[in-house]
Amino acid sequence: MELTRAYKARRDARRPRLVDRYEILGFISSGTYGRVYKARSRDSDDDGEYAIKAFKVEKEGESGLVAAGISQSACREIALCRELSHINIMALREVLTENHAIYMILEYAEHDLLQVLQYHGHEERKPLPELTVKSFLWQLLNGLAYLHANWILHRDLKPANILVTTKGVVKIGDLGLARVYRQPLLPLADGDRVVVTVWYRAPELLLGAKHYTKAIDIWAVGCIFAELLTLRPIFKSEEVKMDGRKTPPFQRHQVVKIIEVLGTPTVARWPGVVDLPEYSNLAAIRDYWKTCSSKSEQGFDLLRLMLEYDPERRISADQAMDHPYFQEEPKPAFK
Amino acid sequence: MAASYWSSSQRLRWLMPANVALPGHERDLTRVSWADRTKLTLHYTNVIQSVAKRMMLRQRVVASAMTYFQRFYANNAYCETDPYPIACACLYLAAKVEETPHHLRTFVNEMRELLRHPLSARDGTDGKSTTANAARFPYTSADIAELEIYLLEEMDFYMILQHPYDLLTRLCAELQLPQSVLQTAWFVTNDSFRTDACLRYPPHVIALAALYLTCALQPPEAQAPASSAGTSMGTVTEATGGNPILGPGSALPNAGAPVTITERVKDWFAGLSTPLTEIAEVAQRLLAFYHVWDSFHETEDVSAILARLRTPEANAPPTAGPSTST
Ligand SMILES: Nc1ncnc2c1ncn2[C@@H]1O[C@H](COP(=O)(O)OP(=O)(O)O)[C@@H](O)[C@H]1O
Ligand SMILES: [Mg+2]
Repeated sequence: MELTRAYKARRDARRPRLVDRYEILGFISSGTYGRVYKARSRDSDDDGEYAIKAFKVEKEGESGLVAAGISQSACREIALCRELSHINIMALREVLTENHAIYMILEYAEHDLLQVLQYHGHEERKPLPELTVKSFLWQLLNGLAYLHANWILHRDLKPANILVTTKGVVKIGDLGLARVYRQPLLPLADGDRVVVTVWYRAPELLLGAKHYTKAIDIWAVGCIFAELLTLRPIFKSEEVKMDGRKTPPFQRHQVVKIIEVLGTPTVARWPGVVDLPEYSNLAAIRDYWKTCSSKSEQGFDLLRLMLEYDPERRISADQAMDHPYFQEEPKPAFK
Repeated sequence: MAASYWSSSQRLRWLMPANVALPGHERDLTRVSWADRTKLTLHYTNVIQSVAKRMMLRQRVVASAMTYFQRFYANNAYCETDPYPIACACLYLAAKVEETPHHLRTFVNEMRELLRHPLSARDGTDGKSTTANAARFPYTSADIAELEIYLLEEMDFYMILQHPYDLLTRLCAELQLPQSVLQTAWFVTNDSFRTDACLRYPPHVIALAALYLTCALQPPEAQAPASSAGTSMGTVTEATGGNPILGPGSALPNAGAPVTITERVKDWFAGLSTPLTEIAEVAQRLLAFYHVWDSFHETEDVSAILARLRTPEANAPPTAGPSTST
């Protein structure tokens, strides 16, 4: 005990204080796992802006008084961000600690896609230029391809977690649900019962798959692509809340929303489907495309491939980046 | 990162040169010998192994926890800290990072149970038995939760590790080695985490060294089906005189047989792109470590060494031992 106390005292004395290193410029957001602030370095050689993500200290036990160490989510996010280095992934500059809290010092990005969508949907009331959509989509796929090449599933892709700098560079953020999926010691579904925000959740997850793959991230990107083109979530359901349930409830409404847009299985996967009486209803996704701001046939094809029901057949990030949609004018910026 | 060792923090941030002394070790080595410090490491890693076994944690978790422990003690000394709560924090964090988390209180309870009794009834030589009767693990969950952050800070928040096991398994399959070879090499790999080899060599070199040592000490043809590593390894070395891989001029066990596994392995090692010298260095470290392990009597040794280590004016000259800078 004595030795431990002495060790901590030595360490505390050496530790630089957060406020001496960074000037807090303002509050950005308060999320599930912590708060995000905007900050500037006090180092005169460094005129960069930063976002500081502060993690709440997790509690365990009924009293809520016993500290339980850093949360699984913070642990994952820090561990992964510490290894990653890619233009389209939010860079982690350093990690600081003070008074049992942990602070991630991230590069700053002016906007998140949710703000962009809301601005264009409510203020501007006109669609995003196709060039912008395509540039965002391509960069998002580029960042995702890097994550997947490193055996990382993001598992929470949605507009609020995708950031954009003033220069228009896309940064995938919030790796709080991300994890390495190579050789898991336990099935993925055992660790986290619910992944991905419901509107962006792939059908295999909605239908309770125990094992899932990087195709779940592609589905979410497909949803985001559609949303960029219409400024509205493609599958916007009323989420069924946990309400003290032990197992996650079936998200019936979400499944209905997907079927409304995509219809039931496609001809390619079910050749006999053409002969069925209600076959004409399956043309529904065509109708959805008519509501999109893009008139590109290739764009439609790419969206269809990303929203493939069968995760095995869903396009991969690498393949999506090679899709003819990106060869066609307007060509994406930052490629 | 996860896909590539070459761009990992394990290589770029936490790989130390083989021959540079670590500051934490140096401060201990002014008080005790290299062999004695090694015995302490053996004891603390035994604690990690035992708790992991009681909790049925996987070997990958143990390997990560021991690596974290080695990282912490690269810059800290046993004489200045209490390693038990650090060991506990290492296991707790490693289980989380390897995606098999458990409640913190489970780790704390297991540690408390394991360290319930004083190390030895005599507690060293000075007869101060009152301190010996104090529980060795008086820490609460809150204490460990706090130390977890210190541990992370010591590691500069780099947590993801690659281990030698996958490569080892693949190599043994590729070379069609008997299951017993894989098993022994696997145990040798486990033991490597009780040395600082995991801070100084890439995982693939450790896998190769474990395989090299296994084949050298127990040529595959001569191996009993169920082999075991551990304290007996040191003795095996002495008995093995010349051998096909470690030393020249040794008689092959099955000389005249068409192409023995040993020859195949020998050829294969000769064709490696990883320098043999590096592999031999790790093997040598492991042998030196096994040598210490052979003469380790946990209950008596640890309290005696700790008594010397933690007495403020302990300035008995350290006895000679292999230096860390070989
Ligand atoms: N690097 C950053 N630069 C600017 N804003 C950020 C940055 N990181 C996060 N934010 C903002 O904070 C919000 C919450 O951050 P996020 O990492 O998603 O945390 P949470 O786990 O709480 O959702 C984001 O939606 C975004 O608006
Ligand atoms: Mg978020």
